[in-house]
Amino acid sequence: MDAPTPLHFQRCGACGTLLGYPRVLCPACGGRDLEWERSAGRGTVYSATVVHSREGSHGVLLVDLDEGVRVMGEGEAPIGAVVTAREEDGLLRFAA
Amino acid sequence: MRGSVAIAGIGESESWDVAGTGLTALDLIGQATAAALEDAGLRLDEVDGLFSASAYYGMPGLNVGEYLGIRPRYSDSTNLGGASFVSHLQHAAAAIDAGLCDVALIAYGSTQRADGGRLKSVAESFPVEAPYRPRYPISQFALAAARHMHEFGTTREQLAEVAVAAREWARLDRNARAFAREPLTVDDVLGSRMISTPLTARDACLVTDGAGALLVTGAERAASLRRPPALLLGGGEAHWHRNISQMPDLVRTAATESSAHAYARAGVKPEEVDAVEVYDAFTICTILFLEDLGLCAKGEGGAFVSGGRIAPGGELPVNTNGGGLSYCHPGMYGIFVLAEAARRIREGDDVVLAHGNGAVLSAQSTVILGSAATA
Repeated sequence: MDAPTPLHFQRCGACGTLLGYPRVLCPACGGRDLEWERSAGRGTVYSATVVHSREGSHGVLLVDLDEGVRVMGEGEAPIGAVVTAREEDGLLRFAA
Repeated sequence: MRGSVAIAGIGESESWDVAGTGLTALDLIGQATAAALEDAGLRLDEVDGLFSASAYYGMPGLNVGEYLGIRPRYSDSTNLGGASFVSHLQHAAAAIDAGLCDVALIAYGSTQRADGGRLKSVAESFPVEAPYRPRYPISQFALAAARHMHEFGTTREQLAEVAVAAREWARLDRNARAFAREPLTVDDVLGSRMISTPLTARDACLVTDGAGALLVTGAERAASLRRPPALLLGGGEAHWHRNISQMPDLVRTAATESSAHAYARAGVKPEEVDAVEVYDAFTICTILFLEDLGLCAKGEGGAFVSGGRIAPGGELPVNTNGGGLSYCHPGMYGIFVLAEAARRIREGDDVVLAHGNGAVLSAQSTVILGSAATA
């Protein structure tokens, strides 16, 4: 199952958990009442790495979105930085 | 049950580099199994339990069984990545205790180096991470390392100390079979090629070929065989996630849970452990696991591994063959933490902890082995 956009997440109607990726049941309580919700795209960098290869380098971030879900995204920013997501080509690109 | 089964036979492939020989992963498993049978003084036709995991064979129990001519009455191909084999030992103990088999073979092999060095893996693509191109699996461990540095002030030098200590173990005469034995300094690690910050090529495990095999049987039978038995005092396994973005806390692994079970079942406290063998796929692993296994406080792993404290002559012997960083690393290293822990028991240690990690800090499996004196 795909999310409508990379900033859409399911919230469990039973326990309120926001799911990290699309599912047909809530992994916290087993609930089946899941509603799509769109994140505002603001969050805090949880961890960061820069991948080096022959083709160059690119940053990979784990970002804790303000709504309470962690996502992977593209960008270079220090841990703890407040960042905002842009959606480009169906991907999340984060910048301060 | 505490002390009811033992590792009675240990075998490894004859080489960690089989490029140009045409040997397959199954051939290497054959070498390791022959060595383990000889070591224990057991015959192939006495093996009636088979445990294997593989990145080469989708149904490894069938391939290994056919190749070796084993028709097991108990077969388990549990795949928890590199933690599989530490779990296999625990599953074998349950099967032997239940009377479902008498002599279990745990076997693993890979020709990753001969195949060109790319990690052969059954890992699938995860749609909410793959587009961002983390380099699997090093970037996932790099994210944990970066977070550990942020929360606890751990430094790249402290990460490098893990690789240096492993190399010093590998350089001992006892470890003549280690793949990498040339001197290694902290500066060598820091100056080596950066792959995924903060981890360099020297923060990463080796790429070798090779195989390992272990024979496990009831304690009574093991006592009558050639070698001193390494008794399984207790174990535990745990997994909380598969993908790094779904790991609840990148600096606290499920090894906290697997080891708590292992200590409780073994009736052993962390301070009673004589030596520790952990799956060191990357330098951060040793630091995280020493913390999560209760051998030092959370956040103090960086200081704990520094100043030669886990190297030969240090306070706590860790990865005493050189580990995945210096001894061998044929795709997955998990079976070798068991082989080395059992060797330490044979050489006189009373209590040795072995810990396997699978996937990206995902599966955690811990066992505590003991000498006959501890059972």
